[in-house]
Amino acid sequence: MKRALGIIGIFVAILIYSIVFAENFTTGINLMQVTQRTALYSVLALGAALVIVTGGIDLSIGSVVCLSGIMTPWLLIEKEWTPWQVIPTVLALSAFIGLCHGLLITRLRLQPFLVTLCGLLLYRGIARWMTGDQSQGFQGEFNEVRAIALAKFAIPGVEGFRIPATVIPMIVLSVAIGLFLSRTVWGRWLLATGRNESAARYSGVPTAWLTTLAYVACSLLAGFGGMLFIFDIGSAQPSDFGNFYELYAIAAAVLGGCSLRGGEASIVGVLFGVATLRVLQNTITLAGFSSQIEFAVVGGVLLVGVAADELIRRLGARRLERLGPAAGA
Amino acid sequence: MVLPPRSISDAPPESRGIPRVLLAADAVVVDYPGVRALDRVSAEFRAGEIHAIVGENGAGKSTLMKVLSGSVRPTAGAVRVAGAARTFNAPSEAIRAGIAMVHQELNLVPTLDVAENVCLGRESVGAFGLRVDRRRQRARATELLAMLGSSLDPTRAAGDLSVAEAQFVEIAKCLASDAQVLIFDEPTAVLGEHEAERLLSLLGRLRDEGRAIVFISHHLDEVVAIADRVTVLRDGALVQSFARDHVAGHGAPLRDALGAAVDEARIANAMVGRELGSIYPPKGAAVSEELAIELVGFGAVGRSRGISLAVRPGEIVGVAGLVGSGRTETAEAMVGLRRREGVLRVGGREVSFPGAREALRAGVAYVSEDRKGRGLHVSLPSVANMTLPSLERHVRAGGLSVDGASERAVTARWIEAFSIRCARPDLPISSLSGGNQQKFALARWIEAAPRVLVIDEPTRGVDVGAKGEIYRIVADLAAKGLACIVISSELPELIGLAHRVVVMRNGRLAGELSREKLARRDCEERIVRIASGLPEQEEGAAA
Amino acid sequence: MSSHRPLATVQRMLEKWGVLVAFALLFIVSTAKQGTDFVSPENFRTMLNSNAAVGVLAVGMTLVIVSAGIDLSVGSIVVLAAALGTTAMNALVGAGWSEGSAVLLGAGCTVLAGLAAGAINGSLVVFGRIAPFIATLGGLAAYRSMALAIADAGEIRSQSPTLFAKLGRGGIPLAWESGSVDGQTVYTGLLNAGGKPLTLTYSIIIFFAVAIAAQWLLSMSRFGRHLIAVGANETAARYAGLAVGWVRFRAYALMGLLAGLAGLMQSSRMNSVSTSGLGVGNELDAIAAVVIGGTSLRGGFGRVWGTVVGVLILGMITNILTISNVSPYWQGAVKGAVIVLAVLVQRGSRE
Repeated sequence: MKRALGIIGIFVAILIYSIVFAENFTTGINLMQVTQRTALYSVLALGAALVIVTGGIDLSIGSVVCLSGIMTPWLLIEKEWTPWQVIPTVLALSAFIGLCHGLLITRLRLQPFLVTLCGLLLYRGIARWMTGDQSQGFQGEFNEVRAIALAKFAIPGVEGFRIPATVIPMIVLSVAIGLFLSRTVWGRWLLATGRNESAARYSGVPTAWLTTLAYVACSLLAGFGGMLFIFDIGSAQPSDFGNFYELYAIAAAVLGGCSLRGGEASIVGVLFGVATLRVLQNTITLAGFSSQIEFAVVGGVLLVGVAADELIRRLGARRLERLGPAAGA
Repeated sequence: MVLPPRSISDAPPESRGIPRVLLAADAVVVDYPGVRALDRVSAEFRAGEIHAIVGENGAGKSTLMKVLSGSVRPTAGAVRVAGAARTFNAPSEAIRAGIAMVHQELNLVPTLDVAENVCLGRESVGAFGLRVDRRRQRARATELLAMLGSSLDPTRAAGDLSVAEAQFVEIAKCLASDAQVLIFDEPTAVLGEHEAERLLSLLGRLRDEGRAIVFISHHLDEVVAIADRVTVLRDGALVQSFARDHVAGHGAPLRDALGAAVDEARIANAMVGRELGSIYPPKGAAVSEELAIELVGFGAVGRSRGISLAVRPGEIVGVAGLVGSGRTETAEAMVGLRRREGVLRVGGREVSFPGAREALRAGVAYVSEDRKGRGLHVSLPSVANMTLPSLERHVRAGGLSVDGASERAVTARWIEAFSIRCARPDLPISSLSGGNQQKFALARWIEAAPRVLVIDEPTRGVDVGAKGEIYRIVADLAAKGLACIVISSELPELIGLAHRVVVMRNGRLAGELSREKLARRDCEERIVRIASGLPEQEEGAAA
Repeated sequence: MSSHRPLATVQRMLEKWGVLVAFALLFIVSTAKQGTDFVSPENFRTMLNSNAAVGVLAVGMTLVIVSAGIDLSVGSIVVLAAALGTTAMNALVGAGWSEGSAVLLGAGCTVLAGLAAGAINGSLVVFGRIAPFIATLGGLAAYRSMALAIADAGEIRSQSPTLFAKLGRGGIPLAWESGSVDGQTVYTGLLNAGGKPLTLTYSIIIFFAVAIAAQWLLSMSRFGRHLIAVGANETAARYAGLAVGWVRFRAYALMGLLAGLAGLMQSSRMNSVSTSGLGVGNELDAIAAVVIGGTSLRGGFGRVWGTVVGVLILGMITNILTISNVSPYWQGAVKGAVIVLAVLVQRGSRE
């Protein structure tokens, strides 16, 4: 919780700025949109957080989003599968991708960024190849399935703003992952693995297995997120759908207090990290800046977050020195 | 008994031929936030002298070295080079002033060759400074190594060198920078006995050439053997200093300020501030005749092979051997941390462990020699370190949730049982001293009630006082029926603690000393001979 | 103890010379598949020409990787530098400057923009103490995003009538007139399929010049020694009195400069800059070439000549995939697989 305080402060500051200065920010429809986006991106960021906790990284999140998001309408419309076939297939494929990452990283000991960088190109390539690089959409059908992402719940007495249904998976996943990390044996093991992999292995922690699990969870969440995204927007281009989404996920996780050195995470922080990025992006758009500049902002925010983490670590080390009597040893 | 703090310069004035002071610490104070690491320490380092700095862990030795070598700036006081006060902002500035340090963790670039390492940062360049002149660098390296009595090929890759060879290169590096003051931080800690002797004689030679040698060591026998001056630090302050009468030559005994001869025990007492009895507990007997663990033709793939060894409950078996003889690797293979070959039986059943967790379940625990990197999570709280191997036992709600209260309770129990000095178990374990960390490293495994405990270097980086406590803990555990395998590079420790000692050489068992042989006076020499592959003369004579 | 196992020896040989073996194998496969279509001066020229820009990036990447770093932003630096340089050039042409000086200033601007981006990367890594891959991942997004913003995700066409394109496509002819038969000029030297002189493009010349300079830098110069030292053992380098941060900073700055150069090579060849397409995936190509060439991703060891062969190998693979009608969307997968394979071969002999 302590790690999340910084990002909560930043979020509140940016929120106040947006409410005061950004025109149309407080309209119901805009707030609804921001909430919807926050919920969607948080699914990806939670997955990224799990991988970052192990001291790894997943650069393929955006491409997995693309693959699953493109495959879903493609299988439904072009291949005429039923939703009950499509959803499990796409999720299983996403999990399988994560399993491949995990095994390449833990068994062949390849660097995570390298494996997932290759994945970044590969999965988008598959999506483009499969669809002939054609835009995929639901063509106005399957509205009952798309309601998973599109439904909105009215709040009694409030006009204009309704709660998007995607908030439900966000909350469920956050609570589950939060409890997993802080309460369960596996969660503690995962954190210990991230701190110091060999120390954990020497302590009897099944590190390879847990690391693989983290990559599976990350890709699974990316696949699930991709599905929610496509349900939300209806159609997408395989060439650019999900582009740089991994950057959002990683930036949000880092902003939320997940150290890239591994072993530290705050799920509340990750949620506020996502919300901060979304509000920031929304404000930039409302202010009339080119939407192209968005990635520059996200990249910049990511770097600031990492630099801040480094600074905090150095201050923490100094504080520990003050406490530790063994400083002169 | 303890004399008031005094500095070396108060030592009896010598009448003639006092060697030149090359480097001096002048009332140096180093304050880390909240703790005074050095308190007005003064010491002089003279040309042609070996000056040993001794003290327990945390006494301030390393801080003093860091001040002298330029990586820490003193809060007050001064470092004087040839009489002039200097402020160093980085180690490179100290190097330029002729002060070089040979670090404990050797710092060579494995992908460069010996000559390139020796000349690193001082490259000989050809015309216009564009091109590195390799031939000149090699000649220079050969020359420097020859001065050290080493005929190492300067074109060999540094990554292929043994620890001892790497140390020579490291020293040559210091000489390349024209260092007049050489600081050695526990140089023999990573060496086998034989290599250590060679290094000590080299230190003597460097001294005779007129350099000032600063020497940190935990091995008081080495200190007594070669040091011309000894400065004892305790809790950041200088408590006592001894010097050899330089007129009488290097063979003369060390004397204190009153002229009394000083031996190892006297130095050890000064370090801990009290008299030390024997630090080794009495040896018990094996409690049972059945085998707790048995290795048959066992080995770590590529590192050791053909090892057959059986340990009974209650028995402590020592494992000696030079660095790189495959001791650690074999132990790691036993608990599934490395690929293994051969047969391993625990409690009579043949077993195979995919990892340390399965080994622990079967009752085999391994305490790593590398406490910082592998033994403990230094940045995690003591509690988390304590319970990590046995976390599955501290759960509630049907195994779904970790029980924090149970974790804290068990930690408190072991703090009590092992008298660990740890006021705040919720702080990172790195805030504890080496000895207390090591006690936690032991306790976390013993908590899981293993039948076999393999301890690798049980007292590395542990001060004298805590050493005795750790030996007592191990002996007590054995008395209660635990089978212990102790790997150590400190022979007195093995001889004092173990019922019998096996010696490894080049990945194989090279010999064994029974309890009777360990009681003989020549056992230490005998172990060294086996470990370094020399013939056992007396063995033949006895037979 | 394991040094005398034959398998280990084979692995060591493979690690050292595997890149040449792979090159020879691919050469044979290509020859078998295409015959003289492959083994012709013109085809070699074409292959070199189309891989020269990536080659320049790969050479720079070798130096960064030797220093135990990585630069994922090179593809984005390429497009940003090219976009800035071309925009500047167009502005100068529009302002009525002579074409020559506009192209010259534009080119200089491109290279300097690359240098600036590289310096930013270096500062983040050295002074911000951010892990190289994450610092340059930020750059990957940020630099591309800036380029997209400049042209609103569109294309920047060169306003230089001839000279800029000449820079990209021109070169030194490899054949000369030796007379004429029936009113047609006859040439001696290397000719293309149409019987016209083959040109050794400036791109190829730049690629080889950069490679030779970098190989020299790495194995002969003091800077190279320091790069290796910093990459292999940073502590040792620091204690030896090297300015570790400065050494690493220069590696990233040099990488940026070369990325700017690669941007110039690509934009002048296309005579335009597609802000959404130029340089995409170049970082992976460059890393792949470096790894194939035998440079260790852990830093401290590298060889530029290996990287050059790696670039050629990637070029041949692309060539084979193209003529075998493999979808271009799968080429990323093949490159990924090749990287994994190369890393594993390197790994084999060391463990």
